[in-house]
Amino acid sequence: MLIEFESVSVSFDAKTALDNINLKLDQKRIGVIGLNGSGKSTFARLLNGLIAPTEGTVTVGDINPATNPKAARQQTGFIFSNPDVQIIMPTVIEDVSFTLRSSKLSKDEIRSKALATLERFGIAHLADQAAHSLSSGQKQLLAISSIMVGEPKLIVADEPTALLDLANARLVSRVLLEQIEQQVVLVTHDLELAAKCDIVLLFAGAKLVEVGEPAPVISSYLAQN
Amino acid sequence: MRALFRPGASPLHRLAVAPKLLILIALVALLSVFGTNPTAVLAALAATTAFYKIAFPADGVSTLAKQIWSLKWLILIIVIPQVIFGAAWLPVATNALRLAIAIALATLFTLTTASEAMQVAIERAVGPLKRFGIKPETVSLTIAMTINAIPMILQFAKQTREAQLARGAKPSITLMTVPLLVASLKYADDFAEALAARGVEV
Repeated sequence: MLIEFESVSVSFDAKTALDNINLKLDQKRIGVIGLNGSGKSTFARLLNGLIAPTEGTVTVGDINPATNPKAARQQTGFIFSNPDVQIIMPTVIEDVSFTLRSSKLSKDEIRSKALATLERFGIAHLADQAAHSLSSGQKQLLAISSIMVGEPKLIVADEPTALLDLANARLVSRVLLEQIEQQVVLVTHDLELAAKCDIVLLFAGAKLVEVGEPAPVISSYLAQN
Repeated sequence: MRALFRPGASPLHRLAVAPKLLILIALVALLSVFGTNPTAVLAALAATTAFYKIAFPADGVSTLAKQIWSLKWLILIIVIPQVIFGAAWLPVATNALRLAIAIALATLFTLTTASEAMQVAIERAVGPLKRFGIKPETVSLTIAMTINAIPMILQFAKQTREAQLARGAKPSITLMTVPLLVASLKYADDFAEALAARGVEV
């Protein structure tokens, strides 16, 4: 799916969060790196309409997320760094089923689809557990399941491994980069993870400073900091 | 005290929400009427123990004991002033036990009722208010999210207390209020964004 940014700028009060971004992306695994406050998360939030550009136009597929956020959120699933804030319902199965609440499926169909998704990500045995009793890694897998059950075309993950230990971070990374067939935009400080992407975007001071193959972009980032 | 649904196949799990709620209300009402009689309260304790055993054959008694133990501070707050003002021990103990049993029965209701079933029942109960512009699904979703937020707030309180202890401060409600409020507001903000990302308009 084509992601297109045309002269996109974002400002909050008097502060520029993104400055004149022009970009076309259709790669399957897109890494986004940069220091804190460089504009990475703002870039990610534009993709499903959580933030609207102050100037310019964002297009994801055929959808402009700023003018059609509802369609954008059906098309684009968003994974946050803190798994706790993403859990809406008390139990694991209910949280996954919640995504399908507006579908025309029957209750039994919703449950079996939710269970199949949990099975796919290896947490079906936790279906009836309280979501908050899970480990951080399991919660992040639950967040991924809750998004994947809605069959989005694009997954945006904003530092999904930031709060996880090494084993869980590896597990979630493997799921995002290898197990999911959809297009993934991965905002990360983990350069090993970024190196596995097809293309890497480097942000600095609200600007997109480099785009290209992972190795040279990551080397440039390391050289600058 | 935090009680969430525990899956099971007992008759109490299978009982529909509405009759189960009516039985709970009836039992609590009976406790209120006959609750000053120590024998009646002991009988109620025996019945509650039996209900827990039916619901959770493997660990019903210990589950009930844990629920009652988690009420220790509340019971102390109620009992101490009565003892200070010279009330006789038997009525004080009877009253405390009556309160513990009532809460344990309410907890048994949540332990044996899936939140999904509870939501359906709430939506049905709130249904007639549709004509006044109240959306039943919004009411049930709000209740589900509130249940979900309780463990998070408890976790913030625990983290705040630990941070204060680590810095040598004696935990107090005054010291606790601001950091807990800030953490809760930050959580509310992030949660609202996550809700929007999952297509819920807030």
